[in-house]
Amino acid sequence: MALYYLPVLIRSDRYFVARLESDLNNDRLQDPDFNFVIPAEDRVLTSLMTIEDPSRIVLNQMAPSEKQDVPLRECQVSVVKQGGDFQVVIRKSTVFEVKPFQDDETGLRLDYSAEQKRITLGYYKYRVQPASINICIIFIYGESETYSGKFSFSVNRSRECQRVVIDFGSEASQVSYRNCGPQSSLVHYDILENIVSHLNLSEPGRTWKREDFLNHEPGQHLLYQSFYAIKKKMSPLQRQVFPFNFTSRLIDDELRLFITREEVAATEREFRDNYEIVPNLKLGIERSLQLCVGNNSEDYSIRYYKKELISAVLLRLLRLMISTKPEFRNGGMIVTLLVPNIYTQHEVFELLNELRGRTSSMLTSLNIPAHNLHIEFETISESDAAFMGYQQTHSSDVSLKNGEMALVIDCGKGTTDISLLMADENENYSSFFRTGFAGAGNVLLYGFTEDFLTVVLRAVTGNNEIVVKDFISQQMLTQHLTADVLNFIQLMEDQKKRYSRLQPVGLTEFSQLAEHSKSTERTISNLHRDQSVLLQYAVSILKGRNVRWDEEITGLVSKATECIVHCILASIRDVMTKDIKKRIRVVMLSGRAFYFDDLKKKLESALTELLGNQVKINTVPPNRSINNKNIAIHGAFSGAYKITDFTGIPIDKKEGLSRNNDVLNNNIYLYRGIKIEPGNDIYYNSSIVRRNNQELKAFRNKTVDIYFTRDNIYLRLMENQRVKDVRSLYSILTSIAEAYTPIQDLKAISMFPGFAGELASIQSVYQDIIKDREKVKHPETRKRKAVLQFFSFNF
Amino acid sequence: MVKYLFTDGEGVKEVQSAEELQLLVDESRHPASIRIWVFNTNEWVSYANFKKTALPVKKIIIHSRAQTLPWMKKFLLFSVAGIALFFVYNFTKINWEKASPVAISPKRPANMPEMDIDSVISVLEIERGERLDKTTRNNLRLRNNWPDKILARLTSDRDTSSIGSIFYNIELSLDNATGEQLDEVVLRFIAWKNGKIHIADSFHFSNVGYVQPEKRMISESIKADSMSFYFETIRSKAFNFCYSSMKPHNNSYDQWFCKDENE
Repeated sequence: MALYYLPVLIRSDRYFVARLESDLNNDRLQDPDFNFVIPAEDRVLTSLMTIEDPSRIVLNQMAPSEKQDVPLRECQVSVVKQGGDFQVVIRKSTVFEVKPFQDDETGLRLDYSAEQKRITLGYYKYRVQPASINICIIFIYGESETYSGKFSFSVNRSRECQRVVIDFGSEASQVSYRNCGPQSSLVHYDILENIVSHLNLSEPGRTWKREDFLNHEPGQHLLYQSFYAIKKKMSPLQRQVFPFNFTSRLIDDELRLFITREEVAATEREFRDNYEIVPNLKLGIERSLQLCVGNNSEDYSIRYYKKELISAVLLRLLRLMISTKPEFRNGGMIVTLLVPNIYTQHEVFELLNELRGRTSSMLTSLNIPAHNLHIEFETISESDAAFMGYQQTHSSDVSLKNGEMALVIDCGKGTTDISLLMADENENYSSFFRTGFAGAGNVLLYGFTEDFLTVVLRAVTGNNEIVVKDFISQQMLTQHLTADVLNFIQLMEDQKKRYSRLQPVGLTEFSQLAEHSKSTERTISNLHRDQSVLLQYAVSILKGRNVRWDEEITGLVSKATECIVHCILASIRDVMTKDIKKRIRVVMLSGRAFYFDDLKKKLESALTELLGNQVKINTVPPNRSINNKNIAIHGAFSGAYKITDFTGIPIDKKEGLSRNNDVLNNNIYLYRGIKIEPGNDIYYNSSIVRRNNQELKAFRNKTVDIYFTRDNIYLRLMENQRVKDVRSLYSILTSIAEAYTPIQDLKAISMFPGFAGELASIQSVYQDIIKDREKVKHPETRKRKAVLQFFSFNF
Repeated sequence: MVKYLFTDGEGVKEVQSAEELQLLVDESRHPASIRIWVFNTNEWVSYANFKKTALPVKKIIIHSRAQTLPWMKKFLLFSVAGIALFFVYNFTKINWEKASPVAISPKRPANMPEMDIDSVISVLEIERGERLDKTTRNNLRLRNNWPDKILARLTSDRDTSSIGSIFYNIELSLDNATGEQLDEVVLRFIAWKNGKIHIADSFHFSNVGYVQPEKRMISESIKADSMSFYFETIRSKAFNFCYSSMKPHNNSYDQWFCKDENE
């Protein structure tokens, strides 16, 4: 049974690959495959769906069968009304033809412009009437053979539509929105302030302040520290829908968006009995919770249920917005999620599906009928969004010609995201390669922590008796984020932020620092004597001081910086073929980790060495309203349609992109004619396909095509003009991180202090990196074995 | 130069050179307890292990008195006199040392408490019995959230000495992120010395656009202990806004609204 994919453009800002399945398949669901929100203006033709350049578009057949690809230029396109629904009919024919269509009742029309090379399914009305239109794309191959996909379009007045961008960070999140009406401006939504108001209203007599919450980030009102808590006890009925039992009583919610400082205080037991704190949810922390379901207990793996938990948090954020903004209760909402590059295409697709599936129950919990508010979800990579934000706000710095590229490195708190983007002749950007790893600002934080503890527990004491790794494990990791641990982390964050402004002092002076109170003789030098209170008193001694310890004693901060720089370079070094290096004109650095100057300088110097002096390295200028963190939010509103939902395409290790005419012609979902030869690998984002993989035995020394679809990436082998074999790229991928230990170590470190296992020392990661550098400088030469070793000649 | 920490069980000492380390090792009363920490590592090593891994340190040769020559005595005498003169000169002269640069932002004014504009809008809508239009809402947001949108910053290089600090390359920058033109902004600058106002001056910015920050150099250098500044007045016809730092907060919803510029 065949399976067809057709690339279309939704509105004018979302690339989408429609999946057309055989209508003979009885297992198919009758629900729409996807839903879209269309903001429309009175007396303006609004595009619902466009097929661009139909002469080059092909309906790609992706199942092993005798069926072939069908070029759209060999089809007739028309629209048929069936009851209240519409069918876009693509019929296989010998000539290309588009039959214009207009339905005055709904305002739907089909037009074809040969000059603009596009078939447009649009909406036009004198006065916009909000409506839900079901559109089925049907491909008629033969009289009895049809393939179709169903889509739901909700048309709304533009002023009743909102665009919402959620930057769901592993450490801090932020939300902004903009009305889709004309001349509207971007508004940042203060998540914590709205939670605080909600709690104050629901608990009369109690006045909460921002500072009472772990989620508060001092000095950054619009950033929301990502601390969530999961309820451990629930009934079997609640477990069935967990974590999607939405409630307006935020304080009792099964997935709480906030945690108060009071709750994690040492004296408070009740919260710990009922809730478990979940940090770094986005990275999929390796931890299991013991849920108490009725009289039974259940292991609930956070990693396994990551998709559900992230969806539940995102829907709760949306729910909060809708409940606090009356104008959000009707109309449409297009929600763009910023996703890290470590998510695969499949994961992104699954997350979007989960969100779509659970939206109706979220709306029901707010007593909003599903037909009153339509929500569409889409994603954009964090680094792509950061680039688009920079391009929009600093256009003079980024002006690329057709085929030129930009390298973007977004180094945040929890993840580092890297993108390679290419410009077309209209300066539209497509992101063709993405990679990333878990590890960025948090690795620096861990470096500071380990550095301080090494000085206090070893250098000051004059012996090696205390093992820093054991101290971190016992007093921090297994303590489950107590107030002492959190305050200490805050102190280290503060040291990191003010690093360049703090005066370093020698070990003798540093060890003599004492608490401000005259009634105590506690100093840095005697902190090691009672390790259980070390964190607490370190804070009381160092807080508010303008000095720091001499970082050169251990050099761990500098080593942590080098680890990050090395992992960034290791992630891109292999894809930097001659062809790609030649095309890169601009490098852009964004993300909060670059507030640490040392990291920025070291990376800039390493990139100059890799790419040459001619490449311009841009950073977001400090102290402006658009900063390293929120630039991605601005970029997500830019409507860069060739970026949305894509997670990149594969790259040939030998040729780079030079042979990929499809990508160079802006068909960003295609790579035709790639040869499977041993010794030449395919790079796909943070993974690699070894061409000597056993799974590819049938493909060996043959030319295959690679296709991006919205839910998967396929390798297709043709033989005698029929599809012989199709393989999902994911089944044969090897993650670079799995093969590369420092990146794995950084992943664990980036979950600090929420990580449950043992963390590698920065020193040991650094040692691995030194070894790796040696390997790059002096690659191993393969020794001749057996008989061949006797035939080695040295000239 | 490689630095070290040294301990022989009697406290930890910082050592600036291999020669100094060798002296401490030679003079130690507990050679068996000697441990050395090489900077940029994370543990103590015994002296025996240190000798194996570290570069060999040259022994310092101390010449006996009998070997010193008469010309050496004269040389030493002149050297000591020269050093003494140098110290006298050094301790009497004011040494300006380069200190870390200064970057200051004004505090949020006391008459601008933080406000939840969404709830203000809801209250106004209930009071007026109609929905506020978009421009009014936007202007209301700008008027009541202007400290988030109109950002000023003062940066300066600084030298310090025993008699205080000297500030130079002082630059005021004004970043207008409201998306509307500001007709006039007055920034009040104060330099403090011995807890009193030393210099006070006002800086006027007219027709401040929102495309890029406006910058103004304060040409002279200033000897003072510290500096501060605040917004004295801001006026923008574009969003009907007149702010004055002199007016106390009067608990009204929209205190800084003004239709007439002279109001």
